[in-house]
Amino acid sequence: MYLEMKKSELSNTEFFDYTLSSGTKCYIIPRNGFKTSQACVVVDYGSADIAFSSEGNMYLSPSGTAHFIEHRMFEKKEHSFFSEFSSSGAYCNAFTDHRRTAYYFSCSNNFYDNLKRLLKMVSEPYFDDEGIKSEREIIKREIAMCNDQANWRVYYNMLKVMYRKKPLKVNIAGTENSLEKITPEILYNCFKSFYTASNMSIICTGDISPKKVAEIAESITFPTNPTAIKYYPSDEKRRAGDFIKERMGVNEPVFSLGFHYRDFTPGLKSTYAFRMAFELIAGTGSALYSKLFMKMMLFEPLGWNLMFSKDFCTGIITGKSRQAILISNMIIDEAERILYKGISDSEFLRLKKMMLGRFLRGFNSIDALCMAQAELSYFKADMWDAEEAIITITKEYVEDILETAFSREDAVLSVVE
Amino acid sequence: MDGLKTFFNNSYTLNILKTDKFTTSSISLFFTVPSAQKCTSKMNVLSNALKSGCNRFPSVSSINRRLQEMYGAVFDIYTFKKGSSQVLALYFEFSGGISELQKAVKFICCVLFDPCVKNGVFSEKLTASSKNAAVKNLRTANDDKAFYALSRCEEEISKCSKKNSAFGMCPLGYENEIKEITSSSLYNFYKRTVCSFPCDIYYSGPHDEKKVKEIFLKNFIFPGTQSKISSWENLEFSSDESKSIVKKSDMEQSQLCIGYTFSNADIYSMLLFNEILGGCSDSMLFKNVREEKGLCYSISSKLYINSSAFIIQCGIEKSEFLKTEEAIDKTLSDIMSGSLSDDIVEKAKNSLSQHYLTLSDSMDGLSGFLYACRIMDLNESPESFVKNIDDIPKNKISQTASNVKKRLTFFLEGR
Repeated sequence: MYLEMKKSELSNTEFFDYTLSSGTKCYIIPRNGFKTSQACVVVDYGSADIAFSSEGNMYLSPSGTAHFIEHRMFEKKEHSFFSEFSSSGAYCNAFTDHRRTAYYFSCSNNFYDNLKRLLKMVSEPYFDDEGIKSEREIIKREIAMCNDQANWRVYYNMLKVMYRKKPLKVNIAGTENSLEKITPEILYNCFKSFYTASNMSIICTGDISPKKVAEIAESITFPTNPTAIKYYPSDEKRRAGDFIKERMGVNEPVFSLGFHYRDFTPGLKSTYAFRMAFELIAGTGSALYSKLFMKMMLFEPLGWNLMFSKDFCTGIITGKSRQAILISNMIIDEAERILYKGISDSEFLRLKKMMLGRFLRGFNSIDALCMAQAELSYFKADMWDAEEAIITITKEYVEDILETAFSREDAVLSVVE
Repeated sequence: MDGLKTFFNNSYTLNILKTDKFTTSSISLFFTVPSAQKCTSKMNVLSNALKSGCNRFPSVSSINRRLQEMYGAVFDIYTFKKGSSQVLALYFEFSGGISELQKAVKFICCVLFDPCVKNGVFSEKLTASSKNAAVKNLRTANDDKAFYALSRCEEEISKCSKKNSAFGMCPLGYENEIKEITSSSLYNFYKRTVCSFPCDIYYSGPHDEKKVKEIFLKNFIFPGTQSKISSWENLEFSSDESKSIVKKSDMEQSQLCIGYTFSNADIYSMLLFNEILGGCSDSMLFKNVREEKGLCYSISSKLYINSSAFIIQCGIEKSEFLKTEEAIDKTLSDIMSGSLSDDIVEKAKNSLSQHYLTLSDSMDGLSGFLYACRIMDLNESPESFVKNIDDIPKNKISQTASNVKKRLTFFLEGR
């Protein structure tokens, strides 16, 4: 059993990577002295993965299938894993986004038993008509809850304008219509196509033994059949527009300013460079933010997120203001101005210190560490790679990213008021 | 408690929690103001003003650039309600050795004791932007219909009680009060807060108590006061009759909030009862209302321990109001009648035990717990808390449930 170990001098932490004989990648981060331990299984299958081919056949699954599987995985024919986790003192949960599904638990006792439990749970599906019927009602309530949230609506409206054909513009949970089309056969087929050994990763953090984790992971094998091939519509040459507004009657309008990065595949380093570019232009330490705050055009910091998968890459700036259009133009103008002026060495150093500090702080929370590694598993990277990426990032690299990060022609503004 | 050292002086209480576990250190600071002062609005504006600039760092971006220079140090000033008290809190988290601790304390002193003041008042521009932020935060919070429904439920319960208590006061303040605040009244309130109300400081990090104490005593010099705090507040009602309020909204989903009070319940029984009812993810409400009947996606019960009250909240279809209310009533009566399996009680105790025993795994977990004990006038550790909960016999839970009174049903009806 070969456990590759890397040591970080910065965080004084050892990272262990292990590839199971089935092909599943295992990332283990021991953190001695913590009472909580956490484990997560990530499946490279999300809401946008509705079209795929498996065993020579093409399939188009209803929207919300990945999320539906996530909801049902805790319940089996004779027992509930949810109840079992709870009885052993563990907290468990799961989530689905556009490109992945993740199942996790945290506990202060019985970690190895719960790890076995988690791995068994995600390898043994059980779907029946009765379970699907009751889950459908619960998910409909979830959709209704999300539809009442301005942040949710502003984001999906932006996606609808930015991507006319892509499935990611549909709610992760699906729609009331698409839920009606889900059957046990569809769920089994999607499970078989994507819940495969090479398509899943295991992450464990806490006061744990890497050797023991690897032994347990080796003892429960995920299915080793080939993973389905995903298909996505080709990238549109023309967007539906660049602005969309919806009235919800909220007291304070919310906005999402999205940038579509066509033909761009993000790597680990570029995700950090995008963050630095945003902080420089419109982050809390920027002259622009200070101006917007003192003029009372903003009352809280803007948010930044880079969303991506094999099918798309979008940078999103979010905020709350009655002057979304003006602020969006000011952000784009500021990006152009700084690009022209260049980034000073002192500004770059300040931002790099900020990134390193944030990275280090992530080690203080078992949950944050586990989720950060879960995110990195997409790049087949670990926390050591992430640390290297931040340390070796250069000013020139950030300037390259800045050239196309906030371009007017790639921008779509969505407002909900 | 192991690892905790507490020092008192005339102005504040300093608590030092030595720990080598984290990559950073943290300082949490709390000014406790009795809500009888009715200051939630001023408190919110003041917290915005203090974190938006000081004489040394006169703009929001200069403050944030300083934090970025300190390797992304985390800093916030915020306010919250705890029973009959309103609290002004400061949080600062930073990495590095003893020189960084000195920088951190100096930064906090700049922000707290050297704010942007001209001619004995806060600057007009700063006051205006802080008021604007407070109003916008309040309006944004009310856009979240779950928050809005819960706040209205709290407010209405308070109105039903014999005296209009702090329980119903909105922790974010009130728009009409915020608008009336001036630079001068804000400054007077700031001076009163710093000089007249108790201050508790919690340091968590690797440095030894002697060095930490030295740095604080040298830099933290302000008038302050040492006085007893108690945030307990008993809600009293003249009758047991429960009130119902229905409000219409344009939302897709309706929000149901039902408020209850305990009588003669100790805090450990309240905690365990609440955990079983709707505190944890495998609670009875979750099982009965969501899993069995499919009436909602989320349902929980929020405990107001300082006020001996709890509110059950869920998002439902408009047409299922009566069914949901019935399912909730049935869940409560199951607990009252003692129809609780040992398994359910065990799970709830495990869940609480996990929560309290792992507080030391988060930067501000222990300090938050110790402060909460301080304002409840309790001398406990997480371990003693867990022991007290573990010792509760099953029949005490049904006794606690039997003394619960429904006070108010608030239904924010959707489309």
